[in-house]
Amino acid sequence: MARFSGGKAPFLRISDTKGHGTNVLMRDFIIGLLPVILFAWYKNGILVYSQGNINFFEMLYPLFFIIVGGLGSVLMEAIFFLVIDKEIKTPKQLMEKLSTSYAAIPGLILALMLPVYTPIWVLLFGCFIANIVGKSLFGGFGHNIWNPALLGYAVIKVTLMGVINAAGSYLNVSEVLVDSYAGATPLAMLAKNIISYDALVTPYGGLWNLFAGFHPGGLGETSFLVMIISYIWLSARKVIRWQTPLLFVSVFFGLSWVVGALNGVTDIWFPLYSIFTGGIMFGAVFMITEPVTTPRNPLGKTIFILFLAVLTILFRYVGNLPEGFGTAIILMNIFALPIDKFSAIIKANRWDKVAYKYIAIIFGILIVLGLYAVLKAGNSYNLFIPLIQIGGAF
Amino acid sequence: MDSIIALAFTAFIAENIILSQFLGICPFLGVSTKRSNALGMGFAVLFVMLISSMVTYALYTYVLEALDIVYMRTIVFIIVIASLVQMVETFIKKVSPALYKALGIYLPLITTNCAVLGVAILNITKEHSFGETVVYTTFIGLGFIFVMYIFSMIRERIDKAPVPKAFQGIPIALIVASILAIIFARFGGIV
Repeated sequence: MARFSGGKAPFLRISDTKGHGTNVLMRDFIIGLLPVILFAWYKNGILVYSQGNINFFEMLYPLFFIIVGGLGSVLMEAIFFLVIDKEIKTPKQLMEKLSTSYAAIPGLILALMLPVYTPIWVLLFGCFIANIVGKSLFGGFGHNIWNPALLGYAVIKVTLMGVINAAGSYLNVSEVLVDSYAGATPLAMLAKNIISYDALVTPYGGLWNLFAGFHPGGLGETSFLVMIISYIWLSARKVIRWQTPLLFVSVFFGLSWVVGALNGVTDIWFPLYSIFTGGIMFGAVFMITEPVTTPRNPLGKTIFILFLAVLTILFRYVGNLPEGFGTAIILMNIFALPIDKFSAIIKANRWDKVAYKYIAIIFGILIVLGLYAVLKAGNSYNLFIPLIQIGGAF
Repeated sequence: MDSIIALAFTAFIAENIILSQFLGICPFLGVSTKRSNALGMGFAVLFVMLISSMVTYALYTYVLEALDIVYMRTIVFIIVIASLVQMVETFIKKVSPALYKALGIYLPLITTNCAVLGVAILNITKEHSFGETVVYTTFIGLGFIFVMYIFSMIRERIDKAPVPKAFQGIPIALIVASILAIIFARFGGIV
């Protein structure tokens, strides 16, 4: 953190003064998570309780689940420090170490991404992967390569999804009773490759319900509306750059529109549907704004976001992975560093001759991937195959 | 195979030689500490792979099958690959002594790199035509280079981080490799 404060002279940095710095940043971040947590509790606890489907203690369960995610992570990190770090002898030293590693945040975010009735041990396993494997082993806060919460989520998705499905999958108790949900999140319907309003939106009660978040999905990732509140708070406190989520959502909106149009749906409901589902806004506000695992300079961020949007289209509409956004982010995390480096070179050379090589590499890959994703997702890909097929020669 | 693009994409990402077929792990862990070395090794492997799979394809089709001695496949392939590696080694030693020094023991080790033999045999078992063999092998090789490159990039970054002592070096590299394998497993449906 002490990037500019070496040497003897004061080299005063604003982030070391009172009321600034990483501590305050992280406090504001948790406050930004609060509306999401409250919404998750309301949707999966209070609302279901008021419909008379669960008793009072079951109503508290979603809140309990999220808190276990946060506290469990802190506890694991504490044990890890006790085992690994020989210099820690007093509880005070341990607290100091914990207060600079912010273990609770990945735990909270991970809990918000999982379905309500995920077994607690699965959640704790995810927290272990997130905090210990994804962060502490790589050198702790600030050195992780992948977004810890997303890493935990990806590992759960690959290894333990069967356990979650057996425990009730994505539906809470009220949602099980609604016939039209057919046991799936909105995007799982899309994975069947049907683009029509009746199949995609009507079962969930219209676009407003998708916007407000009352549809099956992870605990807290469903609501676009609540995410906007968090977004405004975090932007106002300058925890995140306000441009990042806005740019991503608008680029993704545009690309989805093109995909829809290629499939014969030019109405605006399809791109709206695309950004309201699958935790797009959740990821946009809380994950692609993370300072450690994304590029730091603005040009790098823009390139990162363009790649993310293209990859999300690719995973979601071509690869039939409903939660393709998470996969796209975790994949792009790897490339955060080279993108940062390349964009810095491009900027430093003021887009002149030296920079051409890097511009050509980055935008070449981007355009090829983008064309492939959009054409393939739009099923127009097959029209081009005869033109490029060289099968006859073999 | 209905289209060459699908074949290329499969070879490059979905059936990535390192991360989904788990071949060629030795150079993957051994030469990936620096980006330049990883690239050098990658191109050496690509070159050897391409030549050897073309030669083995021709040998298999026109000699082994013609003489009905297909059971000799493994032995013949190993001999062809070993002699090819010797050639490449001489070539690199002459053209770029620095690269030769940097690669060190790993260049002769391509002889026993299961990725090279693996691709040669995969081309036979998948019943590729000659053209498909060339495309498939090229993109397997490019996939190898790609994964080597991003892996070495991550390792360069980890070198500067305060990794716990017990996990420095190979252990953390293996953890990174497993995470990469999980991420790449998601590419399966895209082709």
